[in-house]
Amino acid sequence: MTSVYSNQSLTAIFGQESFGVTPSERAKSSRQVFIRSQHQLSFATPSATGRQLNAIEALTQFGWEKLSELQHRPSTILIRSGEEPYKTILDRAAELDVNWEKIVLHLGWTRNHIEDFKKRRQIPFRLLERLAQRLALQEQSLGFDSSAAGDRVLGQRLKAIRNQTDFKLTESIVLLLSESAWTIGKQIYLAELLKSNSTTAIRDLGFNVDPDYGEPGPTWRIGFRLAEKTRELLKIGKNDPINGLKDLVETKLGIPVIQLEHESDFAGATISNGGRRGIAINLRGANGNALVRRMTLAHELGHLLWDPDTQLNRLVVDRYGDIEDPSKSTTAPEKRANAFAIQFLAPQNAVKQVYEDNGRNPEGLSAVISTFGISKSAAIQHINNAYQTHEIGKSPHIETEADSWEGGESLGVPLFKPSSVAVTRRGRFASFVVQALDRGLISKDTVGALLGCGQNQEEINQAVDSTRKYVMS
Amino acid sequence: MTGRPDTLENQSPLNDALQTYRQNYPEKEMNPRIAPEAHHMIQMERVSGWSDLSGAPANQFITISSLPNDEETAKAGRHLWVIRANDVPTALEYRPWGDDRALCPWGDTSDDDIIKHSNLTGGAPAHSGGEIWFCSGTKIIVNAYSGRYGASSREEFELIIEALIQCGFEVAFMGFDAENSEVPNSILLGEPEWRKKSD
Repeated sequence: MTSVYSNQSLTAIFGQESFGVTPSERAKSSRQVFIRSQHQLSFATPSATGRQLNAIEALTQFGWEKLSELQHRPSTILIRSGEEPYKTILDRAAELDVNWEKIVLHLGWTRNHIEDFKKRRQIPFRLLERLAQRLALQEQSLGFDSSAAGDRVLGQRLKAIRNQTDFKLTESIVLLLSESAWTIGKQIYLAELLKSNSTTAIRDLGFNVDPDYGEPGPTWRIGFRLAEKTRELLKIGKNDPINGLKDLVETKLGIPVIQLEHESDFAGATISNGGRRGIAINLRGANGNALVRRMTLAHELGHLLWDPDTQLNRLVVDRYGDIEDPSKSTTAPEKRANAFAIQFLAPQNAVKQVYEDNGRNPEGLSAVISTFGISKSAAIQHINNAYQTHEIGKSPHIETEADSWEGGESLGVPLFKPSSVAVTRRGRFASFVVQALDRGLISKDTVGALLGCGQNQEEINQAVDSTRKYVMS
Repeated sequence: MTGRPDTLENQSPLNDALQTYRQNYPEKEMNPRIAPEAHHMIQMERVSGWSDLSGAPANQFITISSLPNDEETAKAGRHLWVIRANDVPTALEYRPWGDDRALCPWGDTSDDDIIKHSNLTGGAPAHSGGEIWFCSGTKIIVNAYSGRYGASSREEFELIIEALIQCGFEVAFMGFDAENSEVPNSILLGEPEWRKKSD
């Protein structure tokens, strides 16, 4: 096998119009389209219906040595064994303890496709891709190399949490979390492809995990300290309110925040997929209120920034009860994250000042809520803790303006079209996808696959337009 | 050594069976994407190891013990074949030349351990070409995989399969890529679907 970059070889693969002396230079100017099937890569022909990759994608995913085989051969084999990609997929489904046959019927597979899969025959790669995304596999390497198998520890964690006695996850939540893990990993991958400095932001800002949970001793004090440290590293004023928390987390810290919808008491999660960390937030339930959502996001941020890998162990899943009523937190990491969240959003000294400046009464409470963007229950608890007494005994009736915080914490998700694009793929993820398209790093077909529009050109165009209009502007 | 192929006018069962195919699909020029290397244009002599696939049983070829369903298993026992005007020269792709270097089609001039379809034709036109594995003298797995002469449709290759069945072979076909239908498969996906002459 040769990897000599002869002009003849480069032209044979990338076409006459391409220029440059190396494969990556040629790929940038190439208009050659490749078809990625389940088992092989080939040049596109007019009758091809398979997944289209542009030259940069094909080179990035498979390398020059593989591509160069196409000089002499109609196709190049991608699967490393006859057992692939079936084995990787089935092993992963077993790891997550999910019924793959049931899942795929919602992903456009027919019973014939299921039959063909079981008999190791060819099925459209797009369908395999959709299933791989759902199972947090690396779909582009499916069958090609072992990295497709995804983060095995994450898989085991999802399965283990399913069987916990105190918080059982249903199969549907497991699949949502696993797909969120895929989205997080893919968003960071796209950011790396775009050479965005968001990928090193946390490290560059000086954050480093902290194993101190204060035991023995009050864990909340550590949470407060870390909140103050976080403000310092982000150069946020000691007592300033934080507007646009989601934007701060996603833009300044470069952390993917995946919004999803599930009717349950699942509030949020911090996920590490192959070393790539992100946050998942449930839009249903109490998080429908932007003030509660900010608290959930801040809580997960406390885990993501400060929990060591040994503590995070790929996945932390939080229920509304864990966040809304910190007295119910049973573990040190949860106690610390709760303390971090409230102190980060609403520094206690500043809260006390605002409360007192506005009458130390229901008006004062209302001022705290509207100034710092926290929920009434969180504000009451924080104020009581500040005075170390039941300063506010019974929750007064006051109007809270969650709507004024909604816009800054939503990132245009409700306005996104088409509706077929899942909530998990909208927002900043879609922004990275469109940026990659604009830079020629991915094909339009890949845009459809990443946003879940499939091959529907009209929907792909709508999604791209929506992203430009509501996310990137 | 270059020059006209070492043709052998014979009336083998396979040649008879291929008559219709040859009439419908005339010889075509090589269609390489890139100019072949010089040693791949050298016509193999019979003594270098090609044999005419004339019909079943074909016991002169090396048989396989594993199905060719990935890159490694496909390499073992893979033979190349071409349909010329009067014969179907077939030869093992990977020949452990070693001490047989002198019998290698390109002699001692290259480190290359494999032949190409153009070594069976000397670069001359041919009707078609592909790959073949012998499970036994009568049971074969075939495809249309050739960067130089491959058939471009199932319809075309169906005539070749029919001809092979007619002269006594049990045939499994690797098919074309379902997502890029002009591109032949080079490995078996799933269990082979055997076809033979009905009694």
